[in-house]
Amino acid sequence: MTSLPRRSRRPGRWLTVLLCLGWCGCGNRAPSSPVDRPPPHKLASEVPSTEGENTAPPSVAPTATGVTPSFAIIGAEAGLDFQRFDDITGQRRILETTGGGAALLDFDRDGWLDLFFTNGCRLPLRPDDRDTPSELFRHRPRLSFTRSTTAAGLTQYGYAQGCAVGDFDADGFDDLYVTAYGKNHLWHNNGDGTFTDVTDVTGTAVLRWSTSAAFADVNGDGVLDLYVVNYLDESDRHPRLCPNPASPDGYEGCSPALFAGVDDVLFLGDGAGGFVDVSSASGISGHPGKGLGVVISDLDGDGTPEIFVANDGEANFLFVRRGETATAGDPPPLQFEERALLCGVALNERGFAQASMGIAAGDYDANGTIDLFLTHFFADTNTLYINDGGLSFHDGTRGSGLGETSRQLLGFGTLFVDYDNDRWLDLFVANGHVDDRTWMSPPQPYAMPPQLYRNNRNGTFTEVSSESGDYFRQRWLGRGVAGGDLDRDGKLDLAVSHQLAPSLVLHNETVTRHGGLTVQLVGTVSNRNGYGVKVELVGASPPLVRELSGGTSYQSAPTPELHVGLGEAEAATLRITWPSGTIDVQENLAAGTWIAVEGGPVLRSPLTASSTPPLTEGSSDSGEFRGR
Amino acid sequence: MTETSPAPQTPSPGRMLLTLGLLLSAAGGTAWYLHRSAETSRPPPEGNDPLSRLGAPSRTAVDLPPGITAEDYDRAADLYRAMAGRSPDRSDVLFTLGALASDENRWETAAASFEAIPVADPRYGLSARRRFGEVRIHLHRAPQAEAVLREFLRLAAGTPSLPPEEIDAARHWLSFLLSVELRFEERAAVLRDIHAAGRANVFDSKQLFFPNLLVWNSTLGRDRLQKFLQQAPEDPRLNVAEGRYLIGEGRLEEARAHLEAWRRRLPHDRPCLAALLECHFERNDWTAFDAVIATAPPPDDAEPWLLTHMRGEHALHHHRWQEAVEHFSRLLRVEPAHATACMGLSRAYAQLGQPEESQRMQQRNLILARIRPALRKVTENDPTAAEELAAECEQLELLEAARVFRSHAERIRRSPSAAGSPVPSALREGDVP
Repeated sequence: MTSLPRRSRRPGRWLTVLLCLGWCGCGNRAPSSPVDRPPPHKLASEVPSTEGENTAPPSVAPTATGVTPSFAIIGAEAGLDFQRFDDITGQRRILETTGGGAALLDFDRDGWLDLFFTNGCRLPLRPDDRDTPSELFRHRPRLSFTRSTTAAGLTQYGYAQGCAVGDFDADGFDDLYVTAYGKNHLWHNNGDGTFTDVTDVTGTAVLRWSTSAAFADVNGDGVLDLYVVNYLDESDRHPRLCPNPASPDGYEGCSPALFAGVDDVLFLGDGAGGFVDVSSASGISGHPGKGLGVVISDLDGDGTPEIFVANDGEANFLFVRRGETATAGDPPPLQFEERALLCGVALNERGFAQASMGIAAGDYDANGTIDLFLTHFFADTNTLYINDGGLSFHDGTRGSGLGETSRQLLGFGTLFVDYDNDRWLDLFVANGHVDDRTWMSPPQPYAMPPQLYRNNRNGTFTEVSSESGDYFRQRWLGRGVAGGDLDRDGKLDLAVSHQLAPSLVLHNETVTRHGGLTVQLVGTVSNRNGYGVKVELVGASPPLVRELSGGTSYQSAPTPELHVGLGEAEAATLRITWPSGTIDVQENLAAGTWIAVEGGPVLRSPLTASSTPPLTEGSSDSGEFRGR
Repeated sequence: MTETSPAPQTPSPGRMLLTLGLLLSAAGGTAWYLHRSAETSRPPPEGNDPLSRLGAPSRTAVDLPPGITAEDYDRAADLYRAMAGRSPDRSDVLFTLGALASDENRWETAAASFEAIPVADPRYGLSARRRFGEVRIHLHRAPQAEAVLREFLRLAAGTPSLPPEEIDAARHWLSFLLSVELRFEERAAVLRDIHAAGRANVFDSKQLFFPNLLVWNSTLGRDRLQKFLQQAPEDPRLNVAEGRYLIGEGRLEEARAHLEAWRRRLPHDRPCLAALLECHFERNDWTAFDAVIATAPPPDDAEPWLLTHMRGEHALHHHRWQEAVEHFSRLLRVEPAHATACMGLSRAYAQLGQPEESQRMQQRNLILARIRPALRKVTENDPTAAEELAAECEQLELLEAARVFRSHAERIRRSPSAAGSPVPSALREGDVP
């Protein structure tokens, strides 16, 4: 049954959004039909809660299908000519090791996902250093890119690390938060193809070494909040160095254990375009970790999100909102309690705090709960924390196929990706060492191959890297990874940031008979991006649940869209649960890209493989901005 | 310890003198022997000196041990003569040559030299034995090295006048061997002896009190083991360790095949049994695990820690919670900082309806999780880090560990310049997480 929104702070907002979508989301392309409308959405109570007519029979199988994954490298030849500068020197400063991130966002609202990569600079920091900006690439469909940094006024300099995407002021245009060693920046998307630095006016500057960040609505007021992960205390002017005479340059990388951790920061959106730092009041402060990854997700299914932070060499954090009740007339205070240990995600099965880097979050075992996968250091395993419900997890790495295959690698960015649309979440991992130890005897690998795992549908994975394309047969210093359907063909693509090598797009060219749904969310009462939305495939057995979590991966921002593999089905009925409590049921959605408006209809995006013919270079886009 | 190739070098005479001088001054044991030699055995008259005879061309073939050339022998004799101011006897020359060849990484020559000195030699015998063991490690002949070092320690126990540096060095090399071979229970005994003798450095203490928290499957350790295996491919201990390293590298099917083969050859070997169980545990193959553990002897306090750990995991898997408590408690008694045992106990107590005990174990683990990265900071240069570790140990009621790390801190503060260990650590600090 469709519940009433908890409040209706912006009445009529979805109508405004629809109007906006009607003419600013289409570009100058003539779609086969301007907006394909599916049958009117129904209340949840009106559709059967068991298997629906649009749902394929249960697809549980002892092993996965034999679909061969295929990812093609898209780089400089497509205009994506960017290589991050980390100022890697022989001193092996820890600052050089973390690399950068990637974001997928449709900043110009033409329907095609654009790319943003963070960049480093020379160290120590100099305020006048303008040589190596972070870069924005406009997607000129399909899979052709134009550097748009200067035109967009996105003058993000400094030693940038990660990024987060969110429409913090709910104006319909995704904004960008960029973390850095140094000052973080919040860039407001002006809606005309340009950005404005609003860091100071919004109060979102953080002057620590920040890594990952995530937008989400942590207090359920319909306004996006911002969580900033901070790593450790280090100086760029007087960096700690770890001499090693045996090394060719006289140094080796210092262990993070030698540095002090620092607190993270939580900003609450004030609903007026500003933010308030509530780190202390909410209980986030006082937990100095060495954070590298974050995911904000409703891990216990109670409708309020938890904040999970991956810490490097220290116990991970799970901030769970306390259940204070409101006092007369006031909203309940936002208070978090750190409960990772009790919930089973602080330490691995052996009781060790691992060197956690990136996080993949998703219901890999199709039981309706969000599981967590963490990447770790060389000679250790990555770890799969299986969600048993009720905020209880267990380490399910052993026997999953993910442990032994990661021991000789060092993982960073990671995402659950249903690359073949079979409804089961597969897994991508970017790898690469933090320190060049090829001089050691025996040597350790520096650049490393990335990994792709196929979900076997029985709780285990099989690594399929070697058959997935050239990219997987090469070695990289992989860092940030973002995912999204760049060419709107219904399959998830990836953007990967590397050190000492160009950043790339991995175009998913897997041949599969399964279609995929991409759902763009438009919150009206809930936050505009729909962070926290859960989508269920009605009648699916086993259950299929996808959540638009805040954060995930490593220093990167996967596009704020949800992807649902259809499996054997031609179409699906989706139950969309919004953070506000609104439930929308959308029926008979065929493969393609859909725009779901909270409490309103679902619209078919014109940029759908079935509705849009393949475009040739320059034929589709004049390059003009198509803002509101 | 340095790991270098055994390629011979040709140092200049100046370097040779410097080398020997350094050796003589640095190695207290050698100086002691030389001093003792001067007191107890006066140089024979020039004409009766066997070494002066050896210096003559007509004597080059006399009594040269296998593997030693006349040229080497004469060179060492000359060097000794220059350094000591008298003519050397045969043991003088062999010991000098052994030290010289060691410094030049000519391990075969060094081994031949030290081996040729009789154990009963009152001046050099024991020291040569110890050095022979050490050289065998450089030659990657682990089983032989262990035998020699253990022989030395047995003999040394009956020689109270032996300089402590000699025993100290032998124990450290033995500890090193046992580390590479993942024989942590036996290493603990050696480390306890080192501590009892007041000769422990910070790294020894970390290894003694926190073996479970240190990285055991480093690429360095793996590389060392492979070199050992090349020299002794049929050695059971090395092969069991090989199986465990394969597990540590994630090569589980190779490990299984390897360990099953060795289990057939060593049906009563508990370390092999434990390693095979660990392999099945990592493979999450409980059918195979059940079959193997059914053949295990009854538990006792002397069994490998890994076997006790695996018994605990087995009990957990089959929901035999009280039995799991017993196994993990036993493990915690022998290794109080065993994080995995705490984890297992926490799970078992929770299932037994003892949430307070479960939480206590969780809290213990949280402290261990803080200690683990902090171990990296605890070095011979940082008394504060040692004190902080001592404070964490007190929280865990690891009082002996706390006392030891406080004493390290005091020692380092008192005499920072002398803080370095008198002998090289057998494993490098990079083996610590």
